[in-house]
Amino acid sequence: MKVCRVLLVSLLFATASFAAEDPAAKVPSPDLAGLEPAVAAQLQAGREALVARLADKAAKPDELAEAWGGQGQLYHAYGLFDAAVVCYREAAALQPKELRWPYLLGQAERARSELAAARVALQTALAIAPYPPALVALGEMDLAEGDSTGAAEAAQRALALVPKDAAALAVLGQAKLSQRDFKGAAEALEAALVALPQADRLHYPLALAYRGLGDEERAKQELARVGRTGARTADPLLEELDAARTGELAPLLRARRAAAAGDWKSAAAELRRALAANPKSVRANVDLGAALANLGDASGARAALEAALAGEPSNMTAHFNLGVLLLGAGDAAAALPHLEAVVAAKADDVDAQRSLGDALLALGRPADALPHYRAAIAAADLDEPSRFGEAVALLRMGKLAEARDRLEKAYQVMPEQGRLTHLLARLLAADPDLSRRNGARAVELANAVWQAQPDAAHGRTLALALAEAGRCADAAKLATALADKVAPEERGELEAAAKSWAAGPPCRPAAPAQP
Amino acid sequence: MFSVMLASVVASAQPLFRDASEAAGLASFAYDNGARGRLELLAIMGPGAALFDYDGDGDLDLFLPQGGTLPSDTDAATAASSGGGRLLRNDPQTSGAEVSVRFVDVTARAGLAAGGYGVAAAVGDYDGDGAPDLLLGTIGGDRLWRNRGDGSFVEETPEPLRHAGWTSGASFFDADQDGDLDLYVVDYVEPVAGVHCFAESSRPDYCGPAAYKPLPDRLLRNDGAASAGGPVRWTDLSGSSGIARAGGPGLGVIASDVDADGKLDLFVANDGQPNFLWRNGGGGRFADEGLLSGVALAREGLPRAGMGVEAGDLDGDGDEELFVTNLSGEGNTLYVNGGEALFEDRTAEAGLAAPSRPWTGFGAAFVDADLDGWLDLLVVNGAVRLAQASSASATDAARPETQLRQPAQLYRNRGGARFELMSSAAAGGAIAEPRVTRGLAVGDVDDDGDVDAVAALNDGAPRLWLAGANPAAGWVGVAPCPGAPDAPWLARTVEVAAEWGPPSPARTTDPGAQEWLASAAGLPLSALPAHLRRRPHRDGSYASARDPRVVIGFGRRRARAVELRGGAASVRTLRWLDPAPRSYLLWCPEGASR
Repeated sequence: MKVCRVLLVSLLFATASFAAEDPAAKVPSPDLAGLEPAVAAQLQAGREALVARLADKAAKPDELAEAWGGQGQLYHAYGLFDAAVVCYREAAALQPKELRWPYLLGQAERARSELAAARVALQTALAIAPYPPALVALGEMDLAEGDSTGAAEAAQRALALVPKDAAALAVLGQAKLSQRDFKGAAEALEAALVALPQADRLHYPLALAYRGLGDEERAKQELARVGRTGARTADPLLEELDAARTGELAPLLRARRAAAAGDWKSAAAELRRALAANPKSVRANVDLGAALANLGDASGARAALEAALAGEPSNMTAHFNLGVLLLGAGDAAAALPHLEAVVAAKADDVDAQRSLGDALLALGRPADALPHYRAAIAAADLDEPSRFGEAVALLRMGKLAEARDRLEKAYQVMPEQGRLTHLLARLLAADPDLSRRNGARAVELANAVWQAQPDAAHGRTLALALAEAGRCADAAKLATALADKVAPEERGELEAAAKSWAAGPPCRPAAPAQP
Repeated sequence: MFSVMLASVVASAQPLFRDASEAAGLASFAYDNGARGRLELLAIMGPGAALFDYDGDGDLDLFLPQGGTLPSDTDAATAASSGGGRLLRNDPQTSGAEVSVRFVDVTARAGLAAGGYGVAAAVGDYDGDGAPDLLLGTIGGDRLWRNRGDGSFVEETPEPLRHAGWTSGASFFDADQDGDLDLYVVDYVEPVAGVHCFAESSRPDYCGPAAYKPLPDRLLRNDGAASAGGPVRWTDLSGSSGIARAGGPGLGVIASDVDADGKLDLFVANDGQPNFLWRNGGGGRFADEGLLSGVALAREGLPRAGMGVEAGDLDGDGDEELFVTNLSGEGNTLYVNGGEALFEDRTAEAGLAAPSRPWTGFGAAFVDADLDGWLDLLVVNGAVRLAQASSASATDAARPETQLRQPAQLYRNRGGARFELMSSAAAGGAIAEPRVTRGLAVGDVDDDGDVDAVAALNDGAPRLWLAGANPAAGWVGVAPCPGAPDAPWLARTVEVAAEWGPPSPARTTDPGAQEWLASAAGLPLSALPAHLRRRPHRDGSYASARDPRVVIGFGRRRARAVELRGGAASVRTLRWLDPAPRSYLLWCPEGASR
């Protein structure tokens, strides 16, 4: 029995020793099941190449480091961070003077929320060479850990390397915000936005800085400009990972993230990569159509959406996007069949019903448009554009009383919706049927929209309301003041009205009740 | 030096929580998420849990929403699971001095047998008869039950709650200060099945909310009953209040008077979109001021994946902070109230950012787990994407959702909203065990003065974590009188006046208490605020309802008075001689009595 035990132990040692020398055993082997075939094949081929390189006794440390690091980049590119970390560690150990491996190791550790390990790796990278993205990353991690002093120092070090770097300035601004140094925060964040105006996410911390300084108005202005695009330092090492990706899905996912951040240009570029991997990809064409439409490339968008429909004629997203695109381009007739297809497939699609109503209205068919606006309202009774469309359709059908009733109902639930309130005020001030006018109420409503947005159209409605209410001098004064601000074709009419109203009562307007 | 001493104290004490699920009879109430091996967002977001005393016997009972067949599975056998929910009555078992919790299923007897894919629960005495009523939030049409007060319920679901949607949470609160409870219902996204998403690796994965259309929330005004004992009438104010115009994928809601104007405001966590802070303008009108108030986004200007919420005065300055749990990689968010509803994201400064970053948080509750006077924080976690799953978790290949398991976390408030993550040894191994936890309901289930917790799991039976805070710590609880209506109680603030004296002598023979006293001997009497304030509430967390009673710990200090503020009633002060009572005081509408 004793002999057996000794033998067993020996066997175990032998096995362990064999395993330690098996190069394949060291290479991480993440589960590839379920991955896109092209991606799985790429990862598998990369792994096999690394294993072969490790088995090559003649391979030099630098060559082995490149092989490990390259596979780490591949895993990193597909979000397989655990595997990437293993590879980067091997590469860094083999090539201790190489910046790439500890830097990418730090980023991979950060991505899997191992902040302490990330910090060590990034500091190792910085000891090899100054690399601003590593400093920015350290600053961001300091912020996440509540170390505003450390964050400010990291940002200043980055700025010493790249003056006016928006990402470093953003870190500095947020560090100052954490320290409640609102003036310093505002200065840094303003500077970041000057350096990179598209980093519209920074308007948010900037707003908080102004709020801290007691400037609420300025804070509100900044809040109105908040978007989702952050400030990034140029980072060739991370950007290199993009080139490693293959297949359709990875660029499709990145495109959707870019689109969510409002970065349509990057989204379009990623979608073209997806289409290069799978030229018949319907979802890539659908998304490309949306991206190009947002970039103002209507013809490109149309081509992409038509390609999507060629591949999948029942794709309702493509139909809807193409319908809206054509409608926006003024081709309501071409838009019609696409929007009808969507409505037929999903009757409670508010956007499709409303857009179909808009198309029919544009084609001069208000009676046909009306049921679609009403279907949209039935599905979402607070949909302001549908309420507005319904009122306009009724006006075009000559059903002014019904339009007024519907606008009154809309006003009950949406009193803050200026367009609806404005239209109601105009009807109450200048309905051709004098019995339906209500000057006092028209003034109240028109004044509310004028106060909220004092533009020429609102002013004109207020002038009409004042006249209808018998306040002729006020109406004339306002109309005179507005005459210079309205379109030339309306100027004469307004000046004539002002002259007439200035003569005193009665001064009821004769203007038609059109939106 | 301070933190080292704290750590040694914590290490020497018994774990704060122990698992009592099996003994309490909860093992047979596993949630059926209906996933059946598919990667469906619909199937991984429930359930919550509700702790409330439905039968007025003084202890907390438990309601558990049940999932079942997904509403989208029209061809599936309807008998696969009954859905709805389960009502479990707390029947404490006494053996000598030992009292153990035991739950008994009384669903059918209480008249709560119902179908529907249950997700969330909310509790509130909306008819003001002193018996708490119950809302079951589902995917596909909610259920509202009025508690008759005799141990049974009658369904009174109003029309606005019947429509097919995805109710993820709700809050009963007095929106218009008329003395009854109105109802805010949080809606998530359009519940469409069969949407396919994938991870960065290209592997199929659960979709996030961006793949779906967000749904607007609803506000229902309580117009009272037309006749005594008749059903309460509700008016849908979603449109006129301004609430329905802001659609967002909402998951958590809590009412809190963040601007101290006497009107309850609402904080709603949205998943991937800016959170709402509905400031109550009176007259049933609300305006979202989340952005300017500083609670809509995280500090860097991005919306986060808001899930569960909580509100409480963490720093002792009298106003309530707001807390929201988020997605892994983001970390949770603490918004510190600087007064007048101007908040700052001070998560990192509070020590709550980095430790929460690896996990996806759902339910959350401020509880004074160690009864030292400061509100601690309990958070339950569980991933929502396979790409975030911990590969170390033991999983079931046929049930991909089991890969989403993550541990819960207990953060100790070291004073003034500065937290440290407690080790699993100190907090209790039970809460550190990885699980797919969604709801968290807290309350003193065993009536011993410390706050226990029920964790509602997506992939199994709920867990009951009983607290064992140091037995020498002083505490006082305040509870509404049996039969007292909810609304006036929820409008109050319980405040312990500052009459801190020297440490109480060790008068106990309990070995655990003596150990705690010995280990705490070196602790400085950290500067507790002049007043300890707690606001009773049932809402918050995720899809869950908590014990509305208030427990305030004193640690080794003395406190000789408790005050009840708020509402039309005058301030009521109770005083007592040392030691602190270590029992519940009762508040009744006409005043408080011991």
